[in-house]
Amino acid sequence: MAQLLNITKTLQKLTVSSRCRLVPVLVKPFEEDLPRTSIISTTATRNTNFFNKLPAQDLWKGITSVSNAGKKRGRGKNVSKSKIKDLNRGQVIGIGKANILWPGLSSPIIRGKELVEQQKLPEDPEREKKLIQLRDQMGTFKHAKLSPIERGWSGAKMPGRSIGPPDPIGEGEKFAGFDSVVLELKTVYNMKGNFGRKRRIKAVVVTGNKKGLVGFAMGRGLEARTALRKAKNRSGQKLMHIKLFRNHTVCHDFFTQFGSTKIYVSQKPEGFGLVCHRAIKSICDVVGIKDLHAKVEGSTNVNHIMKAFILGLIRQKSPEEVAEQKRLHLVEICKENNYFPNVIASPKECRTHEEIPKDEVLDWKQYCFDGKVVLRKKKPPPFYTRLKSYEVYLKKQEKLRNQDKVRINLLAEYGELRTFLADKYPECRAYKPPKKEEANDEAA
Amino acid sequence: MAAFRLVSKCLKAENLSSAHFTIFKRLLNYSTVEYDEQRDPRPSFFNKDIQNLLRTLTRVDLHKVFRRRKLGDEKVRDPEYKFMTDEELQEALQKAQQKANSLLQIPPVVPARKPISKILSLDPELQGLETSKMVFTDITFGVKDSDRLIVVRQPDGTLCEAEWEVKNRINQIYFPQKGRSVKPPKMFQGTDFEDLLKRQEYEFILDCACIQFEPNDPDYQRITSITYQHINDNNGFDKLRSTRHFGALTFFLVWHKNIDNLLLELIETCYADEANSLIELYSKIKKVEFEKTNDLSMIEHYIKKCSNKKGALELALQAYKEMSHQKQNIEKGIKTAHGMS
Amino acid sequence: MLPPASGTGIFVNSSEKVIRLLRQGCTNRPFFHIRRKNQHRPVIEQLGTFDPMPNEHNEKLTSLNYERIRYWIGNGAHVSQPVEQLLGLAGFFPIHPTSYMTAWRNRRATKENQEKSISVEADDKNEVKQ
Repeated sequence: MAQLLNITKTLQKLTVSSRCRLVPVLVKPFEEDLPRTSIISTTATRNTNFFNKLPAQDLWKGITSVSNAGKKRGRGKNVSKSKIKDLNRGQVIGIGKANILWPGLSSPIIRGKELVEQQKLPEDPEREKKLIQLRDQMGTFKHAKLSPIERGWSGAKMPGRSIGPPDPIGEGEKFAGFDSVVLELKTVYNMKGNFGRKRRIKAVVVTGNKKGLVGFAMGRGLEARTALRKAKNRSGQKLMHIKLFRNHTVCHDFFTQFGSTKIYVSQKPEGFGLVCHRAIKSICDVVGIKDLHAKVEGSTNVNHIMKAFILGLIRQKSPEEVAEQKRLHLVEICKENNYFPNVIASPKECRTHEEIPKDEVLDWKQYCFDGKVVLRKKKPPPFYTRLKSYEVYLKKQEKLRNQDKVRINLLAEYGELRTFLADKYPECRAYKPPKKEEANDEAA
Repeated sequence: MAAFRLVSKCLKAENLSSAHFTIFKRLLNYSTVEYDEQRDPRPSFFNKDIQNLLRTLTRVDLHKVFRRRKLGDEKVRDPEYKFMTDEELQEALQKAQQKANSLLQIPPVVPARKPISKILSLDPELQGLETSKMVFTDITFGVKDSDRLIVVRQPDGTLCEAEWEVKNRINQIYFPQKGRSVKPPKMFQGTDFEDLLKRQEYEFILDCACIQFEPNDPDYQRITSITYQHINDNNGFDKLRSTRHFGALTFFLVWHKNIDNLLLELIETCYADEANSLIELYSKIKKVEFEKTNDLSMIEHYIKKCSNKKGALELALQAYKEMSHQKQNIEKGIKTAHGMS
Repeated sequence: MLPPASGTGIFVNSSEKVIRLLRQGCTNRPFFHIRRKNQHRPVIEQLGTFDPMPNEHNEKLTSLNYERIRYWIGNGAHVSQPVEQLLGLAGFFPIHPTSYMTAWRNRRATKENQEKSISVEADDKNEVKQ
């Protein structure tokens, strides 16, 4: 590259000197307009300067690097190697700003039977634009844009993104209906005796078939891709079965703990959705849980949350097991069914009222959470409710309390905002701004 | 919203056309049938035996009565779980049964009301005082809507009692009932009503009519009678089973001697005991006696005597007899195979 | 917050009690509460409403709690003239003489207007003829 640069430099010098020597072809058109004296310059020109004395490498180094002493003081944080631009890219020897035809360099010497002469062509404004565009693109790299469905928890980062089913083992069965989600992807360092710091990537992946099978695993590798692949394939080999209630939620409320991460999970009716930590949501998506509420207390380390949650899921009892354990009927009562006692599970033999000891826990929530109680803080009223202006606002809103209903009724009855008085007084109508096209027509 | 506006505009245009009601009638081919006071249905409807028969014909299924319903814009609620012993469960189920009984109370069948025209005083001296009517309502606490005193001072000075239409409107303004609107909604008129019938949303129509109108309102009787006729013609009886409206429907059909379709449906679906009680109901309301020698004799007698669809009913009955005969044979065979007899 | 629409229930023995109209509503939209009121003091009890704007069916709606009105009148409350007129029209009181007078005046005014318009028409015709 440096050689090329030198060649161009010498060529530049040549062109300049050739101009001084007055190439007869070039001068011919000028002869008529200008007096001879003005073209022959007698002043000496020095064609070496700061920019063509040093190679490009050194010039760039001057602005992108910082001395060791400067680095220690924290200078040059914003300059990076990516700012260096190769200004030779897109340039071809023989083609320059002045669009001159050089026989033997940028065009053949003989075309047909004629000898091509050196000549100046009209300037090409496109060339300069193309060069600038090429230089602008250099140094900036853009990630491919993800669709909102493919996106993970945050931007284009991997955690939260789905990476497809695990690879089939040998020529065995494929993991049909499975999907994996990345929960963690981070760089970890290890100290080696002769290398010093060794950098590796760690990935944690959960996989499941959305019907109650789930597995999770960790994988390490030099690259993110290998780490993810290892984690994904390993998680496919560690599947566990989880009981689901009516195929949409957990069997019952439960409390679960791993380390200092405590999770209170509660069963929710259909249509509630997933209201929980994002890691729990990802796991639920993979397991096939659609409605659930979970509150995490203590540490929110993703690994611990995952382990605590899956532990809780495994420890669930099915309604039949609960009924058999308690030897009582388990009955569901909800408002949507008009409080009809819906028997969910019955034991083989039911206890009578006398057989139940007085101190036995019969409250469902207490039974599920094993006596633990979720801390529910009372939300303080927002600050503005204490302001005088809010009181004034409420008073003004009082007059408009039925406006929306009246609006809907009028629209249903008349198809527009008007009262019954509009028949008599046509002005009793809501103002309608004229349509844009009409307004434009009027203006025209 | 634009589409909504367009639709409502179309509707308005339709309502304005004077002939719309006749068009609507012709399209549906149903005419309003009211209960009138000359043939008062009240004594027979409120008879205890008849009520019991209507209840048995309703065929109560608790899971249908207490099926899952959407509760408007309320949020979904968490279900409540309870541990119950056998006794507690039985008690809860019994309570649910009682609740179902009150939920399935049949809307009363009464004759349509007569217009009010009671003049309280004539004061022609007050002519010219007002150009509009003055409506005075007594809002004393604890008075029933039907007993409330609502009087109108006409522009010519006459003081008279308000008409039914005005009374309903004023009652709804001062003492609003949940779900009822001041003006009857559009679902009870024109193409909207037709559309609902076409979609067989019978329970929805009848529930809404129960909320919006009093049972003696001619509008209520128009809507219910047309709906009942539509159900009868389209064999939509199953849609109303286990709802409070099935009794009213059966009573309507018996009252107008139009039970052939219902009877046919009952025989075809092998509910012979219900068919029997239907005939019994017919004999009680219409004061007709049928022979009661064996299980199906009453039905046969009815078919001979009063039916309009003799062919279809006889065929269905024959098929039912054959099937029950075959069933008996199979049961006998099974018994002998098991060595029981 | 806003005082309750049904009144405060507090009353002072010494002050005079009046059943009168109290304008509520907003600009260009009068609406009245018929209320038992201490003179210059907050409302004791709301006894009804009166809407002077005719509705879709050309009706002016008035509601009156007859039971409470009877009670307060028995306790010696005064009734303002507009309320007396309303109660007269409702058939609760005998018709107020002012009602008769306004009715008569209105009739006379309409009659005069008619005569005037007839005479104007006649004049116009005469002018045309000339």
